[in-house]
Amino acid sequence: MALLSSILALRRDARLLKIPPYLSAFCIVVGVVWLLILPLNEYSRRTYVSENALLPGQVHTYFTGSEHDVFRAYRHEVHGLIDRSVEERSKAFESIFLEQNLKVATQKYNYTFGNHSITNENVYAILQGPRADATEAIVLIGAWKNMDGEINNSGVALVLTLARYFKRWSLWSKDIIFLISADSTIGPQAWVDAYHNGHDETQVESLKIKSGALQGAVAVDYPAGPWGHRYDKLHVVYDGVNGQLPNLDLFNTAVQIAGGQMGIDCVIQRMFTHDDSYKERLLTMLRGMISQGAGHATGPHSSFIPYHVDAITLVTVGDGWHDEMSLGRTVESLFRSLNNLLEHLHQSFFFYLLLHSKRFVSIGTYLPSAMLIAVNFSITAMALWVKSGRPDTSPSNPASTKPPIKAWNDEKKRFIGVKEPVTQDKPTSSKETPNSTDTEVVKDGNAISIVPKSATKITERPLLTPVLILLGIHALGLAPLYYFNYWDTDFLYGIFLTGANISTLMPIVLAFVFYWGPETPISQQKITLIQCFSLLLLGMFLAALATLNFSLSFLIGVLTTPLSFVRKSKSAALTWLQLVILAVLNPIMVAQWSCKLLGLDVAEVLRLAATGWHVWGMWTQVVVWLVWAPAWVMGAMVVAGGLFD
Amino acid sequence: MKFSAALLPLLAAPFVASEHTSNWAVLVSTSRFWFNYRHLANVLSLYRTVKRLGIPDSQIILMLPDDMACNPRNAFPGTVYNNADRALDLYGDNIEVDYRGYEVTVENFIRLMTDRVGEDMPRSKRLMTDERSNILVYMTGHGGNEFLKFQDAEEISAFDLADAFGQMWEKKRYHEMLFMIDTCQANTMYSKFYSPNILATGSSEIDQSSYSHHADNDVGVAVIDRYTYYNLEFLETQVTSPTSKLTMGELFDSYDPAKIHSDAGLRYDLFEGGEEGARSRLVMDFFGNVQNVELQAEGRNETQWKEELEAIDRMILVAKKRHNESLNAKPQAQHVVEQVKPMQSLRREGAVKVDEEQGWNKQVVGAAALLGCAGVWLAGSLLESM
Amino acid sequence: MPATIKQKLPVFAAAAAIRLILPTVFPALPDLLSGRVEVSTPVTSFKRLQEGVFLYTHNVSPYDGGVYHQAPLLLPLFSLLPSPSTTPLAAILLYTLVDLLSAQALFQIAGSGQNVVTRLFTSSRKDLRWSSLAIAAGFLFNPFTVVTCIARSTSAFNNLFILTAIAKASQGASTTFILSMAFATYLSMHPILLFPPLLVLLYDARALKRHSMPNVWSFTIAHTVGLAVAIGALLSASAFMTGSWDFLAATYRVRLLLPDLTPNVGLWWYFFIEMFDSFREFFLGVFWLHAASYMPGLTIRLHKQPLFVACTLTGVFAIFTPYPSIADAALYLSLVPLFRHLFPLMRYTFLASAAILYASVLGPAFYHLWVYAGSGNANFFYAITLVWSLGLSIILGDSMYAALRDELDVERPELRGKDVRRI
Repeated sequence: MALLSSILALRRDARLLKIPPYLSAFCIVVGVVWLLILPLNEYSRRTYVSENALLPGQVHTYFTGSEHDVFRAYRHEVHGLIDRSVEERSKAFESIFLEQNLKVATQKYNYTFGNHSITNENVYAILQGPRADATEAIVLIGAWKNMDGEINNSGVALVLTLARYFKRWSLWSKDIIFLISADSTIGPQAWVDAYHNGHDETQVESLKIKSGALQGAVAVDYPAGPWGHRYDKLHVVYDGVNGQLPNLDLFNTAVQIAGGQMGIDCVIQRMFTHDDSYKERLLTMLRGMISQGAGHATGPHSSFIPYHVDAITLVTVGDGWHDEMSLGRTVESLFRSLNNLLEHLHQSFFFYLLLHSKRFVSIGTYLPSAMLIAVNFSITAMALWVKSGRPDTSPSNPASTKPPIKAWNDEKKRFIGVKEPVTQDKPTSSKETPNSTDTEVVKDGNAISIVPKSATKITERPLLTPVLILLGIHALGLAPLYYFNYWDTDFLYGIFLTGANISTLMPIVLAFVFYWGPETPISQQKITLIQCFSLLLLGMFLAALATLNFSLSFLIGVLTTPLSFVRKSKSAALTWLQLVILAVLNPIMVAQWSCKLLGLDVAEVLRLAATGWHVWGMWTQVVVWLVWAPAWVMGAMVVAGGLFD
Repeated sequence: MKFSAALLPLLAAPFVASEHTSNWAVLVSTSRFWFNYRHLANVLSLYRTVKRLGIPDSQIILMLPDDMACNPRNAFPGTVYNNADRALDLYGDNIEVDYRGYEVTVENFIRLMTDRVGEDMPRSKRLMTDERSNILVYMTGHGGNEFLKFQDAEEISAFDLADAFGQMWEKKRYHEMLFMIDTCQANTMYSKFYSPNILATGSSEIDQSSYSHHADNDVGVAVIDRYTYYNLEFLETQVTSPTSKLTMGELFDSYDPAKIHSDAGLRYDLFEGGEEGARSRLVMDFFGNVQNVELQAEGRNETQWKEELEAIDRMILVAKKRHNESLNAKPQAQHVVEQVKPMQSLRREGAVKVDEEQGWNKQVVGAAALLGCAGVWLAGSLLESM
Repeated sequence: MPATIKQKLPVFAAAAAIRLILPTVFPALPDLLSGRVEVSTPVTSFKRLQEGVFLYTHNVSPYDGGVYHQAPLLLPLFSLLPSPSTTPLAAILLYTLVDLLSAQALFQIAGSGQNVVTRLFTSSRKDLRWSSLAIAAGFLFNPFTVVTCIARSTSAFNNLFILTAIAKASQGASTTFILSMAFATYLSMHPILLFPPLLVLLYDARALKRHSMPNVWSFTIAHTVGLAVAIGALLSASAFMTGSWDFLAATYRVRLLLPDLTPNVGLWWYFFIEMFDSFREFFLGVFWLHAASYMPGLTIRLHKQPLFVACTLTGVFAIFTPYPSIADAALYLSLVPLFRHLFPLMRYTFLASAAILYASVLGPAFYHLWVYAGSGNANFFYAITLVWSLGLSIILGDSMYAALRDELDVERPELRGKDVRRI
């Protein structure tokens, strides 16, 4: 109780009001610096395999010799299928799997959205572990087309060869499923949805045969043609849909087997040369964060991760001396390790940032940075709330000016009622000379003092209008969410341009409406409250998001930091400056310039985003349109109010 | 005369190497799961060795929590090897596992050692030792400072173990005991022992890990631990026959920290005769069975022997009679129990066909109940409005 | 009063429309929500109710199988409705009706003025109040209420009877008060704790209405006996209907002894999962004693403001009962606006509302991490339920402080506006 009272007493301190903007800025700076120091040795750790059962690289691999001939034969056979129709291709794979005495089935899917339909067929075969109890399974995926649209000729052939090879072993404790998906992201999604009965039967065919619970999945991407191609390194892709990641143990096992047992270097996040310097580590981490934040599917493995099936894709890169058999042996060894698993991978981390194939940062170390950014909004929101309870005489930017004397009074007193004079329980000190002519005399026992009326005056907070405006603007976000996901994919770029224009003008229009609308002009207090609630919601959503998708939360947090500091200003120059800064940070404009920076085509990104919404169950859009955009609009609206004063 | 005959073995004691009359071995692996293959291989290796040196299966208690031979991950089904050369299948065709799977628990282990078992416990699961028995206790698994994990689910502490052995001593359940343990920080496990005549050795000191010796890359797991490996090396290469006269001291001297990769520990202080006494014990006193065949002492006459036989016969008769008497008494008691039983008759629930009711009975009852409630409410309101 | 009806109609219609449109537009919503632990507890879940109804209509005791823990009289009611798998809107319609009746009760409570002016106490800030309609609208448009309604949690019935009991008490209507009190107690047991403060409220209301003071003792005894008879009748009817008294163990014992440790927004489940069995009985006793101990203390100290005591107790229920859900919080948060005049005296409103807001966003996120993503654990969700309870208890404590301060201002006007320090 005593502690509470002293905290309460603290609230009267006028100096406190000056602190929040600096505190916010401090949080942001610390948050960003925090992230920047993560690549240092002191804050990151070497990776290690924490699941005892995996025993990576402890087995001899026998995928050599005559298997090579089999592989070459399959590679030619697969090459011959390139120009065939989907049905013929599926038939061919089916007959190959049948020859190997495996159970085979196909699955058709047809996604239709935005006047656009994607139809194709997956083929898969199940190897039942000879002495296994059919309660668990692991998946080997070879997508017909890889992420770049190339035919995954050698990859598919490798899956077929490994199927034949694995069938001869009697030591599988789990079933093995060989999946040849029609493409790298949509096909696997259709299959894994149907495997878990999470599919829409009008679009995706149900699976005819199934096995046990999936324990892991590995995809191979090796687009070498019929004459083969020796590669240099393995690119391990691990990002799942919506920024979920596979258990770090799976990634570590793959890297350890490839590097330790097979002598193949592993790289991540398209950092094909990595000298393990600070700069390269930071770059790797940032690329990882952008990929995670975007939340799109990055390979055939991505669709598995939301179903809590740990999965990775091994992509061959560069020109070197490793051949298809070493990739095959890597997969063999990896499957022997997965075969050793006794329970679902759970020992290691699910939240991590990788800096290098052998270095990572765990969630405990990096989470504070996003949380600090989120907290900065909450601090500003609190400051604005306090400010909104004070008389309407304060200047627009609390950071730049001195707050009026004694305004920082006990909230209780500020509330008590406009008409009632409020007695001070302590005599005001001499240095607080009234600077207002409108004063009143306050008596407290023997002590008599003169205080400015503005200090004792308290204001009620009108909550209804700000809350309604807030909800309204958030609801407006539903419109772009709908248009960008359901409109004809060919017109998406047009909508994008329209959206850019509308969103830039909207705050000014809204400000105009509120200043010349039914309540003219909207009071400064309401503006403050709108900004307060908006930032409160933003901080809250970002904090929650940080636990689900750290990168997205951090990126949005950094891009919205100006919203903590923008205020309505009487100076036209300052208003325009703020507006220009905000215009650059408009979500749509951010999409535009970040696509430019990353060398992406905006129309393609929009098409992918729509695919993500319909197929992958991606919710990055929801965050952008229902959290980020409304917060931005409200921030800009507050600033734009300065134009109409 | 009789008295002296009974004393004979004792008098002979200084002349024969040991004073014990039987040898027992308790071999325990405490971990399950495929990646702990080596712990089971450790135990099976030792099992094989003590059997080779003469301890019969009936005097070996083997505790195996998992079945590696039949694990689907085993590339060589039906076998367990302790060496990558796979020259020797430890599983063979003559293995008697006394406690297996989830029977291997701390409670069962302590009950076994202290013989606190139920009446219906089979002989194969009991340690039927007496004060003339030498016991070899070998344990392996995952452990830490003063504890050993049992099956990833529970652990036995050094204190539990010490108390169990203390109780065994008080119950005269052993003559001498060799306690061997191969686990991380193994030496802590015997640090709390307090009962006499225990010779203890462990694989590693406090804060030291015990390591595996090597892995078999076809089986895909480590197949044996270093400490056990070098113990076996000595036992297999040096102790070639049950007549071996090698001493425990020689076995202990073979421990080489450079090879074991940890500091094997020894504890002599509880043993009678201290370090010297312990080191001079033969390896065969613990790893082999008693081999001393004592010739009939001279001067025993036929008549005395016959008298003794008759005395035994009489004792058996008396015992039988007593047994019959107790049999007569028992049926009555049982009868009484049975009479009580029907009294506490359980309410038996017959199988009822679950079927949706066809009529509207339930609905009518329900509607009536609800209407009743509504009626009462209306009446209440009416009452108030009056 | 046609004017009120004219105002009321659009509000009530809009509330009904929301409740009916949402499940129509998103048909998966009711089932999704009824599976959420935040809304459906083992003792209020609609899914469990369906199981009970199935067993009931198939002539098996609904309590076989240990899934259904709700009052037997709900069964005939729901067996009258068409199956929710074919006509999902039927149940929603019923729940909408229940919500509207609750709002009507709240409207009556606000209209009675017992929140600011009681027989023994008149607040100095009595003019500071929101209209009855605004308060009812606050209940109807509270997202927690809407979610409870769409999730078809039977807490809605509980809330209806509690609100009706309060309404009838504040109007001085004895018979219906006893009946609704009996229903509320019959459905969820713990509302019996509301009886003493509401009895005081009823007494005050009667005294004001009839301008005469009934004898306190005969009044108390008559109503207590009445309540006992009503509850007894309900229980007997239930026993008659289900054919045995088994339902007592399956319903009230479950509420008392917490055998089902499904997570919820309360504080008990985690605690009792972690606890060693040997301490279970002791802590059950302590927890219940704690939850029940607010009633006598508050009723005695604040006997001049019985409505406030009842409101505060609903807040205690929302935090300290074994199976609370957001429906209980919705009830409490809807009653708090009755005491608009205390708001200026409350000091942590922003903190509390921020805590509740954060908890309602982070709670589902952490639950997702724990149960679906598998990357978090139970501690995540429990931490958030702690924040949620903290938010509610801040409001609870702060409003009590404000109420006491308000009384102090009336008793000693010279202290008005002065800082008080609790020693």
